[in-house]
Amino acid sequence: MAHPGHYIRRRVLAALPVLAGVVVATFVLTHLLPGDPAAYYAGPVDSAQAVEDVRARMGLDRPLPVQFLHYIADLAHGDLGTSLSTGQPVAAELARRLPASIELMLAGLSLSLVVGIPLGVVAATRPGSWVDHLCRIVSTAGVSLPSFFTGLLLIYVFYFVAGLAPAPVGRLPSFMRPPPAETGFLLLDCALAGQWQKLGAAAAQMVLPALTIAVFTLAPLARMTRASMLGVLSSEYIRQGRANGIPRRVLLYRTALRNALLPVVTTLGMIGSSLLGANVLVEKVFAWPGLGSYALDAMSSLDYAPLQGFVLLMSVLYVLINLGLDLLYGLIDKRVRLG
Amino acid sequence: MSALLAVQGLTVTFQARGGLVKAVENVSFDIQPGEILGVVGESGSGKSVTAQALLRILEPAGQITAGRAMLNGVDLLSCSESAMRRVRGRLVSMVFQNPRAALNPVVSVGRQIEDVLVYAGGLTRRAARERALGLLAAVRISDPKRRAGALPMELSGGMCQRVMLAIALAASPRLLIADEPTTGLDVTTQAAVMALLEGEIRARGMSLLLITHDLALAGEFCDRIGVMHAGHLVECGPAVSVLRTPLHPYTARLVGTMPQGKPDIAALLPISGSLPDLRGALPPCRYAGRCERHQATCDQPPLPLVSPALGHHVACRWPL
Amino acid sequence: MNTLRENKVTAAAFALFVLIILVAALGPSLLPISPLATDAASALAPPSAAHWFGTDEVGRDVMARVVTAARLDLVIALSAVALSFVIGSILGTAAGFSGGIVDQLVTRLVDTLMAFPLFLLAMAIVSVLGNNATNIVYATAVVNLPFYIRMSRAEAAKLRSAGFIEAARVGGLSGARLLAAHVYPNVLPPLIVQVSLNLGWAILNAAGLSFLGLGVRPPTPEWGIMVSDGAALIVSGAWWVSLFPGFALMLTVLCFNLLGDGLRDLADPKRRI
Repeated sequence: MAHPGHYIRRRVLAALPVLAGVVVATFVLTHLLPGDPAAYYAGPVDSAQAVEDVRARMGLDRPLPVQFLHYIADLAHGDLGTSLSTGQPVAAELARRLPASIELMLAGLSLSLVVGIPLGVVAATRPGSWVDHLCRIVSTAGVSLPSFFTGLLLIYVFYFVAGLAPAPVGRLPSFMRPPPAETGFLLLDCALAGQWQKLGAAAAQMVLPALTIAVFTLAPLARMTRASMLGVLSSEYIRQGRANGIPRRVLLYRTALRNALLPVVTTLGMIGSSLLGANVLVEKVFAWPGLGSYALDAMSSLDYAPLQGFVLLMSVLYVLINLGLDLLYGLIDKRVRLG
Repeated sequence: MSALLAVQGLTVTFQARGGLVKAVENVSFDIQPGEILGVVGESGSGKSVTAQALLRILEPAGQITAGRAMLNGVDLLSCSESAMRRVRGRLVSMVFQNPRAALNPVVSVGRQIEDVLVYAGGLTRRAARERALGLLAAVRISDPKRRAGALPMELSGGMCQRVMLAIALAASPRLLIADEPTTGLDVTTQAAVMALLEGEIRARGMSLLLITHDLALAGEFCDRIGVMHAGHLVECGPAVSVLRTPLHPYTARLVGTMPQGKPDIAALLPISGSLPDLRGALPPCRYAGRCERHQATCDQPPLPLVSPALGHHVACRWPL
Repeated sequence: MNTLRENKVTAAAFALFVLIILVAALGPSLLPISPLATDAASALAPPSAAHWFGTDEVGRDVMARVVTAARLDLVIALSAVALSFVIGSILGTAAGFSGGIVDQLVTRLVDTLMAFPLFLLAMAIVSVLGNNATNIVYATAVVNLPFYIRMSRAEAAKLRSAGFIEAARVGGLSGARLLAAHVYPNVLPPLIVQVSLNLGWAILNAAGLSFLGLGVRPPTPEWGIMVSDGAALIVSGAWWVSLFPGFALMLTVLCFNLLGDGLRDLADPKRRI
C-alpha cells in the first residue's frame, strides 16, 4: 500500500533535477550577467592587455559552452576554483568553515523548535490566555525584526549593559586556542579533548548569535503551529476520539499534534531558506568564522570563485534540507506515499 | 424492568454571538435495555446536542445547565471527568455522520482501531492488533488484514462507517448512540449499514439511540420514537403509534412530509414557518408560532412535559 | 470580542503607516539640520536636546539621517514590489490560465528561483550587477517574483472553468484580450491584499543587503547601511548610531505587517461572521 521505500526513492530522484538546475543557474548567474569577472580578477592593473591575460588564463575567452563543460568537469573533481585573495582552494576553505555555520544554525534552530512548537500548541489549547497573546506578539514581532538588528540589540543589552555575555569576537574568546579539530564542531571537539572550560567558553560565545537566529525562526514556527493546531483541534476525528474514550493527553499529543505538524514541516522549508540567508548577516554581526563571513570577505575583495562556491554550497544544502523535510513529511503523513 | 438510561430534565445552553441559546430544554426520556429509541426532528432541533451532552463532548461554548442522566447508578451529566472517561467507548459509544471525517486521515484504520483498544481499553499492542482484525471481520469488511493497513482515504464511505462501528462495538458497550449514521451514504449502502447495525445491536442485547431526520428510517428500525422540536421533546411513544396516530401537531406535519405512501408530490405538505430563534425569551411551547391549533392557553406556562415512562406521551395542551 | 481588538490594532497600524509616509515625504524638508553635515567637534554625542538621536562618528545628526533614509528605503522597497508584482502577476496569469508550454516554462523558472535561499540569490545578483540602489531593486524584485507568480497562477487556474469566462469565450473573446479584459482583473484582488505584507519583507531584504555593504554608497543615508556603520560602535556603548535606524526599520516593517494582517483578515470572507 504505502511503501516507504518507493517514496524515499521518488523524493531523492526528484531532488536530482533541482540540484542540476542549481548547478546550471549558478553558472549562468556568474557568467552571463553583466560585469566582467576578468576585470575583477585582474584587480587594479594598468593596461587592458593585463586584463586580457587574466581573461585568457581564466578561460573566459573561450566560447560559453566550453566554459560550462570546464565548470562541470571541475565540479566533478570537487574543484571550486581558487580564492584570489587567499590563494587557497575554495572547496577546502568551504569545508573548513562549514561546521562552524552548521553548528550555529543548529543551535539557533533547536532553540526555536524547543520554544516555538510548545508555545504554539499551548496557545492553541488555551485560546485567549496569556500564552496565546504571548504567542501572537512573538510571532508578529519576530517577523518584523531584522536579524542584524536583533543581534546588535542583544549585544548591547547583554554584553555592554549587563556584562553577562562575552564579547562578540567569534567562536572562542580571543585568548583561547581552539582544541584539536576532530569534527570541526567546536562543542564536540572540546568535549572529545576533555577541555571542559573551553567548552563552556565556546558555548557562551554561541548564546547570543543562537538567540538571534532563534528569534526570527521562532516567529513563523509558533504562528504556524498555533494556527494549524487550532484547525486540527476543531476537527471531527478529534471529537470522535473523545467519544471513543481516548484520554485527552493522547488525543492532544499523538493525534492532534501529528496532524498539526504537517504544515509546520512545510513551514520549516521556508524557515530553512531564510535561515541560510540570514546566516550571512548573523555571522557578520558576531564575527563568526563560518561560510557567511567567507562570502562577505570575497564580495568586498571582488573575489569571484569563493562567492560562486558559496552560493553553490548553500543552495545544495538547501536542496538537501528540503529533501530531508520531504522525507520527514512522508514519515508523518502516509497519504503522500500513495501514488 | 428498570431503564438502562434515565434522562431527566436535560437542559443545555450555548453562549452565542447574539445571546444565550437554550438549545435543549427539559428533555426527559428513558432507554430500556435492548431497546432501539429513535429521536427525530428538523435540523437544529437539538437532537445532536442531546446526544453530545450525554457523553459530555459538547463544544466549549455549550453548558449543561440542568438535568440528570442515570446510567448504572451514575449521573453522566455531573460525574467527574475521570468517571466519564470510563463510560466513553466502554459503557456508551457514539458514531457520527460523515465517517471518513471521523477518522484520523494520516493513520491507517487498523492502527486507529488498535489505538482505541490500547488507550481506552487497556489492551497490549499485540492483543489489540488481533482484536482489531477480528472486529473488522465482524463488521463484514472483506480481507481485513489488507484493509487494516489502508488509510481512510482509500476506503469508501460505507467501509469507513463499518470501521467506526467496529470501534464503537469493540468494548461491548451497553448503549450505542448513532447520530445520523447513514445520512452521508448512498441508499444501498445505507441499507447495508443499518442492517449491520441492527443485527449487532440485537445480537448483543445492546440499546441504540438512533438520531435521524429520516422519519421513514426511524419507523423501520426503532422500537420507540421521540420527536424533538426547537430543543423540546414534544412527543414520545412506540414507533408504530407515533407514526400512525401522532398526538402532537408537529409530529403529524412531519409524518405528512414523508414521501412513503403518498399518491403524488402534491400530497406532501411542507411545515409552515421555521424554527424559532432560540436566543432570548421564548413562549412555553416553541411550536406555538407555527401551530394551526394554537390557543391562548398555549402561551401560559407551564407546558406539559413528555413523561419518560412507557406509553405514548405528548407535550401539548391540545393534542390530536 | 477579538475582532474589535484586532480592528484597533489595524487602525493603529494604519495611523502609523500614515505617519511614516508623511515623515518620508515631508520629513527631509522640515529638518533643521542637514543629514550630510559633518561636525567633528560633536562626533559620537549621545542623544540630547540638540541632537535628539545623537550624532555619528563624524558628527552627523542621526535623526536627520534616519528621517532622510526613510524615503530611500520606502522607494526601494516599493519599486521592487511593484516591479515583481507587475511582471509576476502577468507571468503567473498567463501560466495558470493557458497551461501547456507557457505553464511549464514559468513553473521551471519559479522552481529554479526557489531552489536557492532567496536572500543569498539577491546577494549574488547585486554583487554581480554592481553595488548601487537600483540593483538592489532589481535583485529584490527577482527573488520576489515567485511569490506573485505562484499566487496569480493559482488564481488564474481557478478561473479557467469560471462561468463568465466561458461566456466571454463564446462571445468571441480569446487569447491575450481575454486574459487582459477578464482574467487578469479578477486575479489581482487577492494579490493586492498581500502587498502590504510583501512590502515589509522587501524592506527587510533591501536593508539586509545594504547592511552587508551591497547597494547604497556612503554618505547616502539608508537604514541598513546606517546600522552597519554603527555596528562596531555598539561594543563601546554608542548605541544610538545603530539602534535608532534599526528601530525605524523594525517599526516600519511591523507597521506594514500589522496592516497587511488586518487587510487580509478583512478580505477573508471566512473571518467575517
